[in-house]
Amino acid sequence: MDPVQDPDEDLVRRAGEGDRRAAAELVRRHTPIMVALAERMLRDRAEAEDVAQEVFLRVWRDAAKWKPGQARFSTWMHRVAMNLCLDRLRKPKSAPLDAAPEPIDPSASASRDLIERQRGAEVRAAVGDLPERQRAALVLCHFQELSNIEAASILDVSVEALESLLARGRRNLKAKLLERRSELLEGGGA
Amino acid sequence: MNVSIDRSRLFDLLEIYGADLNRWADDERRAAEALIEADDAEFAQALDEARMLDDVLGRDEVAPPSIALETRILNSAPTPNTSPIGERRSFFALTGGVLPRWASAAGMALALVGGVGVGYAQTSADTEQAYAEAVLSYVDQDWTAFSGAGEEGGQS
Repeated sequence: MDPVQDPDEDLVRRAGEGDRRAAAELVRRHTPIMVALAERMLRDRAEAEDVAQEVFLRVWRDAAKWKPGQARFSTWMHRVAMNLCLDRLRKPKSAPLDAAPEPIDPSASASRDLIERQRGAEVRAAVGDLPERQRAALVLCHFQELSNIEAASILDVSVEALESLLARGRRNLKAKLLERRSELLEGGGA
Repeated sequence: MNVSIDRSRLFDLLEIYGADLNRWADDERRAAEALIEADDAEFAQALDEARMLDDVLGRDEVAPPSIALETRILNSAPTPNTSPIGERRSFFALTGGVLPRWASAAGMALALVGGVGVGYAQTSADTEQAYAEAVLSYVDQDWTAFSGAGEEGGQS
């Protein structure tokens, strides 16, 4: 098997040696990706940022020991982030304060951005309501754009099982979201 | 390689991966494109439905992380024994043990400028470099200011 080409390999090695510039570039590349994964899984920005920080603590701890060629570093980061999210989801906790949807401000000048955010929030809520494994599969494949092989490996399932999770997830979302598609897509240029 | 793909598998793939054929495996994408070129009405309708769901999902956008978060993360990164800490201490020593106010302000300004720059041109290599330097500058200034407190006490 050919070794995996990893665009982060050199940065990880240098960051492991204490190169701050390499560390800064890793942070710039991967923080948005980690926050996005965690926010979609947890539906909580503050928790998502905590997860991103925890992921990087492990990056800094393990960077010097990273052995390239087996998997891409970003895939490993996704696995760490997903496991941290699943751990948090399985811990009992009180309902988040922002669980209720934001009311829409009716004033035209102020409301456009809010309406956009509200529509995005509705989509995220629908994704968030999916069963945990379906959500994880959809987040990894659709939103994070990982390959099916990478996503299956992160979730410790076969590609066939991953496809089943994705199909059920998308069917659930279709039932929930497509009846309101014209409203959700309005003005979005999508 | 000419792989024969069951037609029903292509409909399944729309349900699994959606309408963006770039997300499909090469041989499956080619088979789907052949159906599209053949004006297969049933497949075209399924493709439209899958695309609608993709578009709706596209409304869910996550805000980019703040520079404060990225700075916190970078502050947790390791520094080697051989890092240019000596250079920073020399700079600190040159200032007489007091970090000039302009240094912190300049660090903050550079970090903010870097953040704004990233927002406008995230893919630019120049911006990447500027960003890294801005964040590093902020982190370095902050580190010097913190360590300076102890040194100042030692000098008195």
